[in-house]
Amino acid sequence: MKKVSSLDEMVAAVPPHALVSFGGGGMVRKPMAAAAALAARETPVRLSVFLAGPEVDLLLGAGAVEQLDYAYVGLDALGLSPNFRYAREKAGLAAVEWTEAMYIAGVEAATRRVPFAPTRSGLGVDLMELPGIPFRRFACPLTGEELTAVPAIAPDVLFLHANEVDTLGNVRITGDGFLDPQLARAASTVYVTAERVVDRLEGMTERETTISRLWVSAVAEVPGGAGFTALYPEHPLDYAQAGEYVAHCADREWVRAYAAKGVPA
Amino acid sequence: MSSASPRSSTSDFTVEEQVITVLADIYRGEVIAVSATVSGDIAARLAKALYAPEIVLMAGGSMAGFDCAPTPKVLNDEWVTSPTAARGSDWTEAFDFISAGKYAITMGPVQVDRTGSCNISVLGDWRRPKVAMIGSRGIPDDMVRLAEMTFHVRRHTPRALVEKVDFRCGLGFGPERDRLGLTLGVPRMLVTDLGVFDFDRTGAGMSVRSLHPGVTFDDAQQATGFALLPPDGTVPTTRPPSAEELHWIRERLDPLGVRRLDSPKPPPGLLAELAERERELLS
Repeated sequence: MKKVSSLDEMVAAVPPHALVSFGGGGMVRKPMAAAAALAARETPVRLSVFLAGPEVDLLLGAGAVEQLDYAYVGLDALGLSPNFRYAREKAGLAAVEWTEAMYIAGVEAATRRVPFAPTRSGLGVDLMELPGIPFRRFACPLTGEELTAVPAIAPDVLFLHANEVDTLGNVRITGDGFLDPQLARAASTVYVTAERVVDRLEGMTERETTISRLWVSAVAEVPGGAGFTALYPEHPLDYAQAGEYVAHCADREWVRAYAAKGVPA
Repeated sequence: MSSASPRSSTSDFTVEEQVITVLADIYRGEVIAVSATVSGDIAARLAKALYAPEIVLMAGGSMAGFDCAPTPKVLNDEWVTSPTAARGSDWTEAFDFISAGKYAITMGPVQVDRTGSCNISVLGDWRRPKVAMIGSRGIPDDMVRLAEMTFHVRRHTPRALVEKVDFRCGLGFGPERDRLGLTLGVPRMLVTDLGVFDFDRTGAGMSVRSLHPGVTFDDAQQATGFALLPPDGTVPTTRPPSAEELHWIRERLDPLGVRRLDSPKPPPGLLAELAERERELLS
């Protein structure tokens, strides 16, 4: 069954208040075209992102985020995320800070369809002392060891950008896969934008990441869909464009115009 | 404090080069050698090239390029390093390696306190921070699985070296660590632009292991937001980089000079300049 769709159709199918996640990490392989299309809708969604970068900054800047769970938010060498700073420092954004291992455990709990996963992380650090956190220390029922329970992370919708997909929905990622394969197994709906839609994926190496069509809801050909973020080996991070974004993104009108224009322009 | 810059007293190497050679010491054995700072990244490459061929390098942090050669540092490392990778890896394996203690990491905390607790998450109260930084990331995970944590603070100031961190991402020495029975993730050392420091295992404070050439104890004390433990005799001078190390850093591992991003005062426009030079290189 062919799964070729369009970015417009994908974004239109995201319900308000849905729990949305994005693949990639930091300034690498971020689904910027999808994030821009979502931001242009200005419909509020909840976000849960492993290593959030400019895609989350853009949605925050457009005022489209009700809640944010993250293990990292930042623009790597380009510094802190301006709209994350504003949202946290001035606008009282509802947020949950995870560690990386806790986030991975939460996604793995969802992939196994269990409500929580145990981790060793959380001992002696302040993120366990915050009010309202979804994490609990508990005694292992088998050994009595003190562990941390983290809840399953099951996104309603996952967007990821890949190098290549086939028309059936099989996905090929050539650079760092980040948590995309696990997130695809945890999410209810998985939308993949790609540089190329091909009839058949060929010539894969052992260093590449693949995701089965069984996990994928729809694919769309969106060349340049990672925007200015790096997409190996297609294009490195575009520091000039990224710098341009950072210089203007605190201005909500600019962000809305940027999102409306779409990525790529 | 400006008089404390090693560059003002020594013209043969920069403070970044000094820091790189100090950090290279932590990368030994069959471990994955990574760093949150550019200097630590180049240090891992230097260790691989000169002292510890057994360590595992990654393509600029990319899991797709695992077990790489010590290639020249660039901003978009994946393009240069990936072709030398022995295999691919992924993020779940990365955290399995961390669970097994197979990582050596240089962290780049924004705050470190007298006990060795560290912070990269927020300044001020987490619930309404003065500055929302990047979140705790993997530090709480590393702390319960790796033997040690190493810190690199680019600019040693009283705002970075504080009495107590605003938010604990990693826990230093002291009664709480003892109460929890936590023996892993101990702060091994702190390297700054002024010297090399370590932490008393009872939580009594931070002491000076060595000072970079031209830096005095008073310089370090003035740049620290709490009282340093009194030195036990004369404070040693940090071993300067050797001619071989400088050759490797300058000619082989960082010919573009990406390490200048870690200078206490990077020249304005440096990132753009590096990006432009690299764009020509990669195209």
